[in-house]
Amino acid sequence: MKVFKHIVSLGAGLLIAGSMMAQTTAAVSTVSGEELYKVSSTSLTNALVGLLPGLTVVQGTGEIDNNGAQLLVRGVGSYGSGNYNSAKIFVDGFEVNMVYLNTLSPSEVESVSVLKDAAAVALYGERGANGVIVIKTKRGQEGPVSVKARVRYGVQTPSNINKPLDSYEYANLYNQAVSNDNGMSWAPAYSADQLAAYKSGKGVNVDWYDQVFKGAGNYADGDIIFNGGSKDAKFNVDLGYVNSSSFLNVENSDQAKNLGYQKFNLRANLDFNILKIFEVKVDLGGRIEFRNRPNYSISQLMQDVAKYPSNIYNVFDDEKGENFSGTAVYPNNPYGSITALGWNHAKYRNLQGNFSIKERLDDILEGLYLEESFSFNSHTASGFSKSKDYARYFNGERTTTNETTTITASGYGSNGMEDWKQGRVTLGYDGNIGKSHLTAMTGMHLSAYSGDGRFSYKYHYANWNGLASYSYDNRYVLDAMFSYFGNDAYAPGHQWAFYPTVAGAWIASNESFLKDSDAVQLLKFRASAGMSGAADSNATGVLSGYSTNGRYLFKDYYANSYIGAFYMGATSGTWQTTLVPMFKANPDAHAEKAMKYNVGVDAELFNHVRVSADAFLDKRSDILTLDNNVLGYLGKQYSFSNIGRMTSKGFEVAGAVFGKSGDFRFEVNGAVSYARNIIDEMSEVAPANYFNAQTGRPYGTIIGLMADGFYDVTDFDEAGNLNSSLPQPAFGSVQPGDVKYKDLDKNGLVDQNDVTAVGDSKFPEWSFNAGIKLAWKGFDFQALFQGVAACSVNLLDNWNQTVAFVDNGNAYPIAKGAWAYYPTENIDTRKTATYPRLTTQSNQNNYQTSSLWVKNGDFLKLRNVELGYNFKNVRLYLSGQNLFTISSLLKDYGLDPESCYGYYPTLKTYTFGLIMNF
Amino acid sequence: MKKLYRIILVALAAVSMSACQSYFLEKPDTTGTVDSDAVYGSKKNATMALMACYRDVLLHGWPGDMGIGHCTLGAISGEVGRGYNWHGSYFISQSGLTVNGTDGSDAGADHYANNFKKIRECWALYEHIDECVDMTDAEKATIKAEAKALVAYRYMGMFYRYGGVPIVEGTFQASDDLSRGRATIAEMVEFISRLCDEAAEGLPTKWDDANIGRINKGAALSIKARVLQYAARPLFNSATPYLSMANAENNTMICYGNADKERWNAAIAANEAVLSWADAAGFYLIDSDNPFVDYATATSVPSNPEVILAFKNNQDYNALSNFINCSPNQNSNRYDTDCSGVLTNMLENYYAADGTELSWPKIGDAAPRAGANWIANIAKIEPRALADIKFGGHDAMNNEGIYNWQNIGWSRGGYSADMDKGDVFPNAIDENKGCGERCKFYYKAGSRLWFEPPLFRMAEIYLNLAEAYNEYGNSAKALQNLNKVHERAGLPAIRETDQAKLRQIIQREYYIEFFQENGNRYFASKHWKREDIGNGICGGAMRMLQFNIKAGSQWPYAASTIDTYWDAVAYNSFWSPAMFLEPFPQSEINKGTLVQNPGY
Repeated sequence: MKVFKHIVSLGAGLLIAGSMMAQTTAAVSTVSGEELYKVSSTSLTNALVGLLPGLTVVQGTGEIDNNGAQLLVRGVGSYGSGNYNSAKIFVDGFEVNMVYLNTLSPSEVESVSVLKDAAAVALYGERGANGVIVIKTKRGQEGPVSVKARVRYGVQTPSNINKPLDSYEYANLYNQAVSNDNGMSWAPAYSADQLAAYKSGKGVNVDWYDQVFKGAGNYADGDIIFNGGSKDAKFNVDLGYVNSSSFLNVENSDQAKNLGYQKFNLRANLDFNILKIFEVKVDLGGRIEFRNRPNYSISQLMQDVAKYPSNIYNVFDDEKGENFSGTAVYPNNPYGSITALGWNHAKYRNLQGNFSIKERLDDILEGLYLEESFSFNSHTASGFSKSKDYARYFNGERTTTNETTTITASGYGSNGMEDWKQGRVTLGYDGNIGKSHLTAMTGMHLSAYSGDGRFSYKYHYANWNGLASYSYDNRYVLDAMFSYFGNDAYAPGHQWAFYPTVAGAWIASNESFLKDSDAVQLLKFRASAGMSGAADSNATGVLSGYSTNGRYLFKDYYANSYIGAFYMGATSGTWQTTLVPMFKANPDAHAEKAMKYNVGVDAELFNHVRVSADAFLDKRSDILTLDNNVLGYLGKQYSFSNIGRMTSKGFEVAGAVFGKSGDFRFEVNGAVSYARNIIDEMSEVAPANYFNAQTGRPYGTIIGLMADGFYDVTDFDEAGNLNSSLPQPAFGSVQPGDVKYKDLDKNGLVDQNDVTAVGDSKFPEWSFNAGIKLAWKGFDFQALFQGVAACSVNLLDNWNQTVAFVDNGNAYPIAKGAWAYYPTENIDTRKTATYPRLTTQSNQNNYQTSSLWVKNGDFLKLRNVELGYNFKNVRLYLSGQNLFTISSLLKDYGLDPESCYGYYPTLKTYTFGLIMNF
Repeated sequence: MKKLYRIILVALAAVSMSACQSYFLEKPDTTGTVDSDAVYGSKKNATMALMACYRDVLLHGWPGDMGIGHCTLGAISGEVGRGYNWHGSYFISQSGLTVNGTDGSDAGADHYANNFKKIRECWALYEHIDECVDMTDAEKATIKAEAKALVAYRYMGMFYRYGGVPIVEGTFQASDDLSRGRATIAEMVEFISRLCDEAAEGLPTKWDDANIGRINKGAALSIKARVLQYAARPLFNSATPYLSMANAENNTMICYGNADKERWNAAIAANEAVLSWADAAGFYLIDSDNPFVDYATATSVPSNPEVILAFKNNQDYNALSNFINCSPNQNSNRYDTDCSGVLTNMLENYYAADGTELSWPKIGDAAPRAGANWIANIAKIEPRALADIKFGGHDAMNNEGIYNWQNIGWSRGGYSADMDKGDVFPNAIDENKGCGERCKFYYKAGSRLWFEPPLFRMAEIYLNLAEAYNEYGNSAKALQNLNKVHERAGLPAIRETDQAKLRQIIQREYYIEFFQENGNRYFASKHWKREDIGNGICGGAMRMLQFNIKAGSQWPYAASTIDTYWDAVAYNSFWSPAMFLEPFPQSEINKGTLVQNPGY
């Protein structure tokens, strides 16, 4: 029987190698850096997809420099920070932010762990409530120097594009729309001749997506890692380079640049033993990143291509291809936007240095040590743009005031900077007394962040924490932990809070009755209960332009007001500066609290099966909340109090079966995570009807009207008025083909008092993955599937691709299901309609959030598949990412659930790679 | 010894870490923002807080501070068109005032909660100004009086919008009783009057040139005068409300519960007090027997002697100029005024310059009229109309000789006109532009976009007196005051003494004199309980003159190119009796303390 070493090394930030592998009481999942390397992405977070049970990952867009994935640990535990990416991230014991994580190279990473339960986050105090992601970078190993060199090249294409209708179909539906607006009498805007021209291909018919996206982008990276050292001096040095460019249809030149990215990174992690009692670590990491893009916002470009119909104009107005087309209504020719406006360059520089010295104090007490460490991390962003403009033409005429200009450079300017200084002191003890083992530590972590911006300028916290872990005979473990956390966000008296945790484990497999069992290699039961906190809050997001992230609410702050102006003096007067209060001070504001409970079991059976399961309960209280129940006459000043409560519960089960036979090895693994939350209290103003409420439902539940088909011709009297026996909608007058809603409160009026839950939240409740790994002689093969379930998508959030024609919009295949009734034209979709009657006008009734527009966002994706061949010290492989997706949203509406809001598409990647070890 | 040294070192490290904690977590070091200590720590900062109060409080009801993002109150009371379909006025015209608001308002045509936000700013100033060290006691007393007057101003606006609202006499603390409900009409009048009296005590008779724009004593008295005027008008001064509350005991929140003629006497006293102050302070009705210039000056020229208080807004490009300056100088937000042409409903109020009635086309006319008739009518119309409106095909008369104020430079056309549309009669060619566009407030403004909305003018005080004396039964005094304003406009004196007929004439005078000013037509019509309120004022048919232009004419069409013209219904506006007062936001009612106005 293997003896599990008790590795709770707290000096470097609670590094627990997974609940499976250690004698820990905590719920933790871990993945190695090698697994992350399997994904070719300029953002590390995209590589976390499907690898860590309890961590829900939604892949980021493919837009370089804006492509971080969305991470959630055990769902949304609190609406206080109510969104993705609320978990805190620690690298080698020091906190970093999402930007740092995204740009870390997988080759630098030894392991990524997700800390989930109270025992795991016990020492993190107010950084712990929403989970912690702990990353360990690679360190030198004692032994001869090894060199690993890796290169790979990948081709990236959009994983999905939802294309609009062509000119012919567009024009046909447009005729319906204008006729519908004409009292349902047929009044086509496009004549039969025009339609015929579109059909025959003689009319204007431009696929703007094809104009903007060429076949494929590419990704290439290479790194070389030196590792080795003696007992007293070890090193791991990593040198890396990344180059990626997108599939935008732009050739790089002095005049225009494709969306492109380069990264240069270097990290040296050094360990020294000095004078027998000192262990010194020096880690230096630096990155330089360059990003180019066309001088036009990519998100605006995506809106333009979504919104510009196929028949508005050709790319060029003249035969020669010199004059870009453009009109007053559609001024931003998408191809012109990427090729004729110049380009924009951004630079990011990041430098981090960590220093740690650990002193063994064995001469005072055997096993006692003192460790002090410091981290300095700075990040700067800067950039410039080179801009030009082009004249727009239509039928040979200039249509806007834009002039064709030559390219001019803007000044080089800062886009912000931040620095983060942290220090830690830890006094610890680790020793055996007979069959007992005791690990104890206490320490202080000070963190000082400063950045740009009114309230993010300074952010200080101090975390004094401690732990005592007692185990007996490798069978019973009992832990007691605390964090006493101080935060400058609150008034004296509320700055400090105490967060205790207790946890225990029973390693049944070390009991005499199982010790010699062939069936059971490991059987461990865990339980923990404890408190942690969260200090960041989105509640203050309502203070437009002044969001404090939930901080500094204890004082009455005034802000310069830029809304309107007041003057004083005769005639034209002098402008007067004005100062207005921002919010109502709350001296009692304090951190959110989380009371977490967890039970878990880890088992290794028959030498071929591993299972780990956890169930949790997370009770949140004191969530900072905008107090909506304050009466208006208090002065409408925003008032924030710690009054919110939420409950989450769920489980994770992860398992693997592995084995080998001769030259054949295999592993099949899978995991399922479930997290469901309920808002217990969020200071919601009591709605008219109980079923309208957000409270009592999962956070983010889509609340809307219940659609009940479409109004039929028979629902109206001869004058065109809705029959009085039907509930009257309060969203303007209706006509046949408009959406009919259920009058849930049965008061004869359909209005906002009839709303109820019409879908789940956008945050998935279920997350699952399954993988297979096979190896035979030099060949290996692996595949990873991942998916989420119980989440909803509101199509109206992708307005441009959903709402046809309104506001000069486009039409997509979804609009082909529109209700229409023109017997003279042989058009009658009354029985089959799936979409309201078309209109070119704004329509309050049809485009209300309702069950009609809320769709299931579940999906299953083949995330990664890789085939490799190894001979001697060389490995060659081919891999693919996001090769296919199964989703009802994709099938029915052409939308990828991870990319359904009309943003830049997500990526499908094919990679070829080579790895050499020396 | 070595061991001891080590232990000391460890202890020292621990102590030094914890020692710096209090410093480490001290007061936030935020950039660019000041807390209340700093605001009231210096005269300079405190003055900024005062200016914020002025800026926030005084704009009530004007574009930029009515809760509604797009429109003027005239667009929902029959002065001008309802705007584009995204304008709040368009929605209100279609669906009435609603408890969920529209286009940024939290209910109806106001932002209820914003009122109290602004009042709180004033009370915070009032309560903290004594903390200011580098300010004299006299300066502090004046600022306190200003704060009270500003609170009164905002309450005045709420008074005629909602009836009784909760009375707030300071900034609330968490420990305060937060469950107070709405005050009665009587309590509102008592409260606002008291604030005005206290403010008037502490305010200067007039401000020196550098401080013009701040509230003077006359403005405080004017607030009281307008409040008492509204208190005496029949909507509130009545035994029964316009609609009964669900619980009749609450009716005192929307009417006095008795009709009392003496309320007109109180209004007379309050308005006469303003006149006495004006005499002493050098404010007067501008009347130099040059009617066009006098009226145009009084409504347009900054710091003119007729304006008791104006909103000193001397900045181009903001909501005010966006929705009121219709000239081509306004080139950033032309959509904001594009569909807000002047309605026939308004046009018919103007007299001919000789005091007679003009003859306009009517709905139902058998045939359109000739373009020459239009030119003849405009030639005859009274000077105030020419200062208020750039009539179709004519130049704006208020900026003579300036291209951007002439028809030739009016690149949008500016009236419901189109070529070769004679066959459209009797229907509308265009439902947006009417007989012309507004040019009021811009006399001799040239290319500047800003104007100073007059909040109180001497003309209002005279008309208030005319109305109050007429209601009190003193037609001689009524005519004396009415004719001050009427004759200033170049019109022959009114001699009508029949109370009911004179009432109509006085109301018409308000409509003309206060076109586009302070939502007068929107509020006063309701408080007069006009029988035609749902029939051409707030609700009912909104009419626009339609102009058929001769074929081959040059854009922008001059008046000489008009072939025929007629009146047509542009659209119908929604009216229900609930709309006599504004609704409270549903979200506020749901909190369970406030009582909603009836009918919502």
